Amino acid sequence: MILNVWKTQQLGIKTIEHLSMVFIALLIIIFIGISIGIFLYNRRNLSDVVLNILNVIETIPELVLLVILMPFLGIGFRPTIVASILYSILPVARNTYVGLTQVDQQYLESARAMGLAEKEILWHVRIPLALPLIAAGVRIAIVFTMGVVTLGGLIAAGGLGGPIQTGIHLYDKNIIIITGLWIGILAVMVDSIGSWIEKRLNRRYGYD
Amino acid sequence: MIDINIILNAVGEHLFLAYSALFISIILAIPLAILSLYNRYLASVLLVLANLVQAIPSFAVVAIVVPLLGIGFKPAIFAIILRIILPLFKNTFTGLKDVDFIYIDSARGIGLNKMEILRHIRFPHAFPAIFAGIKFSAVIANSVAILTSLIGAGGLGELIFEGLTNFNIPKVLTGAIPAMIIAILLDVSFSLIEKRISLEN
Amino acid sequence: MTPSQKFFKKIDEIEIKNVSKKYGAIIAVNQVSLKIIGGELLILLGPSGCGKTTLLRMINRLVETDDGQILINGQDVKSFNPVLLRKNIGYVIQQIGLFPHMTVKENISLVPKLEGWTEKEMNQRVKELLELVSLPPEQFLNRKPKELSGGQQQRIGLARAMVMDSPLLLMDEPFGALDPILRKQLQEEFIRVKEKLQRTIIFVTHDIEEAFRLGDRVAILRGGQLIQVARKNELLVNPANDFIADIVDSNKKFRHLDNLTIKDTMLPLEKKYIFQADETAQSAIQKMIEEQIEFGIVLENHHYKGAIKLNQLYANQEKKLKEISSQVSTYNSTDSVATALDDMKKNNNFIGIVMEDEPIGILLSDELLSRLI
Repeated sequence: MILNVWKTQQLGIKTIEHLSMVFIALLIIIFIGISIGIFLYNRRNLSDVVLNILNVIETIPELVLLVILMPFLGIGFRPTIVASILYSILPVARNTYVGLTQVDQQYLESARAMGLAEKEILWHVRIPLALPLIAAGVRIAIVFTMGVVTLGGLIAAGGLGGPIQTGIHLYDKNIIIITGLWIGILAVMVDSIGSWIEKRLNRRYGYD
Repeated sequence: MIDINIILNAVGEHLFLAYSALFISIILAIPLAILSLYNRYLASVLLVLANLVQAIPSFAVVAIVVPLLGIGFKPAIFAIILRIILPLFKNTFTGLKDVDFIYIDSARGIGLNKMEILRHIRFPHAFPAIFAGIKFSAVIANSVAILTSLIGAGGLGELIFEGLTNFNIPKVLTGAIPAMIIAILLDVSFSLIEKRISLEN
Repeated sequence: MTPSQKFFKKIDEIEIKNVSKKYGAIIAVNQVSLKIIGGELLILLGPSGCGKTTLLRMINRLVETDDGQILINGQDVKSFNPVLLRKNIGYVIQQIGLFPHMTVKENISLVPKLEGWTEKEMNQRVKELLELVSLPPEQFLNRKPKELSGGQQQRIGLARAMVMDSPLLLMDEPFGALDPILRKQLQEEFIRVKEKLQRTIIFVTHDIEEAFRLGDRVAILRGGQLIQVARKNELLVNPANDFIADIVDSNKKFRHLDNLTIKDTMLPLEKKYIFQADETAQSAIQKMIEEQIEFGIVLENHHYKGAIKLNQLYANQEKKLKEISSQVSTYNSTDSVATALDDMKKNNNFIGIVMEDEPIGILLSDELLSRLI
């Protein structure tokens, strides 16, 4: 029965579509998010403003965000990726910012006293020590992105959201349960990869 | 084309759905957190569950509720509760638990029993965490309430979904824009309350 | 990468001219003028809040002066690029600040790396420095700070500060956060290292004994002002005011030399310093690192067997303590201080164990001496 659903709903292909969207979005999110964090770390006034704006975007229901992009980006793949990015930049940017600014004073003082320039301190001290926190932010971004991409199925973006929608329209319990459980399992697996990365970075760069 | 009454109706349904779920979740989460303070097994099970469930997309959670409980208001509320009860629990639990041992010790020294310690020391300490948990859950409840329209719970989501099926973008927006406004108002009011509380402290 | 310029090969003189620093309404440093002679170890001494740390940090421009000038060999420090200036000055702080994500080797060689040194040059330098601070290189090169005891971290901090061979070294209460016996051990080693280095050193402390033991001259500050700067004996003979007379007088116990017993002046033996003869060196190393100490007394059936030092243990990890412990003189608690001092001087010991039926305390010769002067 599971195999039946798998074949008829083409879950294999959908899974690949789904994960590719997540992956592409993540690459962009990580790049932009960390860049924002780095850009803001020594610009306190600007950081308050930017982080607040991102915070507001966070409170908007994901579906609403997705849908509001439709007049500008149409349906399918494009608004889904953009919505994922908008939604998930905050955890990465914020964690990067916090990680970079909240390095223990003694390390910053030693670095300055040794004759390191601000940029050198950023690259050799702040960023390495911020990595565990950044990883935690990326992990959250992964969860958010999985969610938005799932919703993308509702606006013809492909991915596993589609079969769920089909299941609901047809009121086919099997499709819903199997696809739903599969999404759940996939999400937990992806999250645990994120968690593993976070733990490794914590061991290497954490200092508690 | 756009009837204000329909929109207001939808807003009402939406708010009712989201906040009933929030209310029920708070009532359930707090006792659970208190119980977990004294039962390590319960605490670890719930914490693991909380972390696991949070990773699952809301859409999947909402969908799975259908084969189990059918469609309509009750399954919708159940789905929202499922989604928000664990973060509420986690925040409350951590807030109650992570009180500096010094305070607990001196309280015991003065002769307070567990209940009194709970009331006079743990709870006040946990307020910020509980508040943060409620804020977080309110936002999620708001989001999930939109999705539950897919399973027939009415509300703003319904406008959005109807619009989507008919490729009627304006209709979609009549649902989406109010939802966005509610979300922003939510965030602003919570921030104001937060400031009020921290000023009082 | 072009290496940065070496600004001064040798310090002839550092002149602090009428320097002030304000933080809002608080005057941290109030018109301090001071000349530092090239090659000396000058102590900045005073109670907390007296401005000594602020003054120190104005020399390498971690803090900028509001008024006045600081001249090194006649050149205003503000005329140099601050980052390059600091590469020419070594700096050690109390919390040490070793980067937790880098190994000992990476910590020490960070600046050389940025300066474009070759791998070979860096390895050579790191080895030299580790040997200078009594840490066997093979054992410590690849350790991370969290695997080191406080004393070892502080030694590495010093090594790191000296990597660019700067003629000037600034030290801000470097031994402040350590176990009292460890502090004395490190001061001892520092005196030895200081002699080898022949640098100009400015050393901040609030510990009078430390000041008198390590310093060539001592500058005493209070409330942001310089009260007096002079050599030890001059401070004794010609204190500038009552404040200084008090500080110095409280150490003048020599009048009572004959009346003081060892029991009065010893450091009581704490449990953490006690080890059993049958323990392995490995377990002792673990315990010492946990307790942040580097010294221990070995007992066999409650009888004193000998003493051990952390650095000796590394080379003999599999052996039992009774095989490694070295003999250290013992004294009775009722002996007079004069006799004990005499004996320690004769045998060139700086540490002695005080016994009643079992060991009850530790005697440190230099501590004794400085308490008595």
